Amino acid sequence: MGPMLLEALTGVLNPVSLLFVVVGVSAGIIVGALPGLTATMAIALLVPFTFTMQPVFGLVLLGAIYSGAIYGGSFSAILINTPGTPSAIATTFDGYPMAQKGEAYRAITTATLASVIGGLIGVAFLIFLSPPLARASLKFGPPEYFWLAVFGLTIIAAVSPRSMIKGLVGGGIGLLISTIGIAPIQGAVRFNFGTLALQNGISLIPALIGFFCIPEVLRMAESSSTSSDAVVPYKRQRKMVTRVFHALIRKPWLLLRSAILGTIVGIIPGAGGNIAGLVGYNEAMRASKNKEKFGTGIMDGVAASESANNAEVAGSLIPMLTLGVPGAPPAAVLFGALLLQGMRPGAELFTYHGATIHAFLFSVILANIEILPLGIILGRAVAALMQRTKVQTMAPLIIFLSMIGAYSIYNNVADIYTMVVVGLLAHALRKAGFFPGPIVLGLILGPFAEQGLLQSILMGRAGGSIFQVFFTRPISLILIILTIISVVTPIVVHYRTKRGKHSRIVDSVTRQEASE
Amino acid sequence: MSEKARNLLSGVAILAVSIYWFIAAGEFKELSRLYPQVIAVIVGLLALVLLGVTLLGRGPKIALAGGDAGERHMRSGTMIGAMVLWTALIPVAGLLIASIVGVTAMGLITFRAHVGTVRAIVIAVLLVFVFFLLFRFLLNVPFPTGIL
Amino acid sequence: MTTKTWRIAAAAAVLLIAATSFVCATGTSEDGGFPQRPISYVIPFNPGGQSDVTATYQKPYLEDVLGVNVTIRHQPGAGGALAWANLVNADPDGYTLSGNNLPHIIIQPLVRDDAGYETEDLKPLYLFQTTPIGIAVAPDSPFNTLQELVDYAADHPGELTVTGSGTHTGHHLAILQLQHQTGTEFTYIPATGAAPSVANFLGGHSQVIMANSNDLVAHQDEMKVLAIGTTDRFPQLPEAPTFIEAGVEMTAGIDRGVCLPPDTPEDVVAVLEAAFDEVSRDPEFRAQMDELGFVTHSIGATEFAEYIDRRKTEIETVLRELGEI
Repeated sequence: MGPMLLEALTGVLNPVSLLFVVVGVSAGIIVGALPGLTATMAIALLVPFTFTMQPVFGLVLLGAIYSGAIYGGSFSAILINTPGTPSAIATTFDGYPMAQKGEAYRAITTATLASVIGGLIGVAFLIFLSPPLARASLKFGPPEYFWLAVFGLTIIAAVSPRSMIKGLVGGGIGLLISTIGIAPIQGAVRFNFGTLALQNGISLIPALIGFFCIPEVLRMAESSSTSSDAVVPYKRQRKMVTRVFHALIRKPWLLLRSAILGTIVGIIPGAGGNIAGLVGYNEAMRASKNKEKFGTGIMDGVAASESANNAEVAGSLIPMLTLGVPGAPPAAVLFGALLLQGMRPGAELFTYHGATIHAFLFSVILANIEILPLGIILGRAVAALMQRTKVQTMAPLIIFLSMIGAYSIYNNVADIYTMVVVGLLAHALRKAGFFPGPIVLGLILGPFAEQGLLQSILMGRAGGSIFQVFFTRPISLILIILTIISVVTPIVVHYRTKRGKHSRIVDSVTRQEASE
Repeated sequence: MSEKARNLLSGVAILAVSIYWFIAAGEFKELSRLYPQVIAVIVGLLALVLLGVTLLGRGPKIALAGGDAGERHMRSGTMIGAMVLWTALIPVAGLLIASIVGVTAMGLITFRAHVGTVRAIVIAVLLVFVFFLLFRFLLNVPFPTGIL
Repeated sequence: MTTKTWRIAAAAAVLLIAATSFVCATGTSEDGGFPQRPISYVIPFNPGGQSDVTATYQKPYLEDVLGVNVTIRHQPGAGGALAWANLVNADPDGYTLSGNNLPHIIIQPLVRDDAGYETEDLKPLYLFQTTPIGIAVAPDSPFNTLQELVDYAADHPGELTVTGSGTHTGHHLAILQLQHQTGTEFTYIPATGAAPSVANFLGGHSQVIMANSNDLVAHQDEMKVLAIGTTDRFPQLPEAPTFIEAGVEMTAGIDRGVCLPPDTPEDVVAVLEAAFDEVSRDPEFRAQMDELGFVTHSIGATEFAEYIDRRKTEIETVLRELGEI
């Protein structure tokens, strides 16, 4: 053990590896920040290059990119209300309102610190508890996935403070849209209106951009006038990092809980960063004493989402390294990279290739730490930029980049059309009071729910009792209870706030508490 | 359009969509149609609830933007027009030319106020070209060309 | 920015436009042979999968032989149909080729009203690999031979749950063929991919699994392989009988090759075929593939086309008799 660890340390504490960590995290942040490009794509693009490198360097680079990209998604989420990667969807809920209040720098700093801490907590689980956690993850079968998806859908109630009914309808719309494409069982091609392009359903990334970015752009085009286009007052505060740090330290459970949830979601095969962020956000809201403030722009929301999604990075590696079952799409690509280097997940990986893998794990620690200085520097740069221009004027360029970004990875022109059509639809829905959050939730969780449902039904039929399959398994029962709690809480909150104040959410410029 | 009208219109539209979805799903085999139909029913019911509370006068509130509706619509209309034009041009003229047109058009709308018309056009064209070159030659991803 | 800066910027813009137009217009010289410019190797599946890994291994050899860059692109969707539908519409100049998988390219056009392509549209170029599929149960399961499993299934139709990757894929076809040959009924529970199906099985949620050979090898301590779909015993799993040995006349596997758009000229096909042939016969390449658990072939275009026709007839019969089409 001793000599292997020593070798691992030399594998990571050498100039090349360290350089790769810095380069990887930086590149990852850039890729993550650009809507249209995701962590999965970034890793996929670079795997061929790592083929010719020594295994340890290749893995270090890819791990750094993964961590950086998941963090980077928060930038565009905060600045232009468009998640740079799906993991940052929940970051838009509070991050963008914060930016609108002029607290963009604070939001970015919060995201940075939360990502670092969350990521490190996740890596701790990865290093110390991988085997038992991986085993536990296998216990998630079709019924558990179904209930997990249902639990995820209850978050809709949480993220629609303005109108529960519209949130629910929005979620339903998302669920309907997710049925376009090939049915998971029996393979029927559904709702593609006869077109080939829709044979695979609506691609998620173009849809995300369409839902989040385009309505914002249009809304701003509407409200901007030449003279009074005031740049939202940008408040420069000294020592922002220390202030945010102190604020977060006062609520240790916030970050810890989000990170643990993120790790767990990461461990569950198939559930990735997007769900991690949402679950972290939802639970933070439920546990908070200021539930109504979520969604108006408080840092707790950003911290929860970002802590969870960076913890998910390590979480997704746990089943991948121990069992060869990726916890999330980026982990699947990393798996491919391992195979290319002739390394197979499992016991062999930790013994025969032990030094390489442990070097990799250490490098993930470094990558997370590295996010801190890079995030602070970038945060300051972005903040300085915001003093001059409204970021939104860059919107056409961003839309263009998203277009070609999404196209370049999957070479599908239909994705561009998807983006525009979805964008226009989202604009119309926005006008009618339907917000993108719930719809996207439905879109993402729909397939999980359907697969889980249908697979469980098949299991139930084979075993003789469908009821038994859904309602008598221990993990399922836990999830069902969580779901019920999750449904009841926001309804209670909803009616409690309605009693006192008027329910129209005010432009939260007035809520400027010093301590927040 | 008033708040009530928007709620009603969207409620009706969504109800119609859910009915269509339900019927369209009917032609699939059992397991392929179960889930879409269940969801369609749920959405339809929710749409009815929406319509119900709106008609009863307790519909959800929508934060409507202030200012001159006509001018607002013209601005967003032009943006939409620019995007549609952009997309429509892609199969005809290829992504490069379409993007130049599209980004320029949208840029004129958004950042003309800051830097003036001519500069806006120059920036737009330059940006598109830089990225085109980047993708075409560095990453070897050709932009789709059109009929031209 | 000052006016001077703007003038420079404008001049740069003009230069860029001129340069780009020039490059686009001149293109490449036509007096050299094929290939002249980079070739796109389209993978119809997600990165990290078997097709991707194999292609990444092939890439350096191909680049060596052909003398141009080979860019691997992923175009996942619809079980591969998206990429194949796009390939059918691509320029038949040899600069775009795609991986193709059997039985996918046979089954999809048969069961879907409009898959976007027909099996015959994809011009077979080379078949370089098969991943055999095997059937396994848990180590503590009461079944020790395929016959025992089949006997139980015959007495308890639909009770045994089998997991595999996807609908209308190699795994699905394998269980369909087993059912067809033995007159039994299992409940097939498709997972969204090979890894999820393995996770499903290892977690005990299904009793039987149809798995790729490399998964069977990787998890052999937790799987009792009852049969494997090769014609002769699979070297990496020497104790597993083949389906034929166990009494069921079938082979099961996912065949991987490459294909071109229809109407690609024969001389172009020949060049590419020769390149893939050279790669497939390289001993170092074969060793790498063996390590990963693949069975390497060297089957050229004509033989490949015949193989596809044969398989199509077989598969069509099975599907028809089972009521799938």
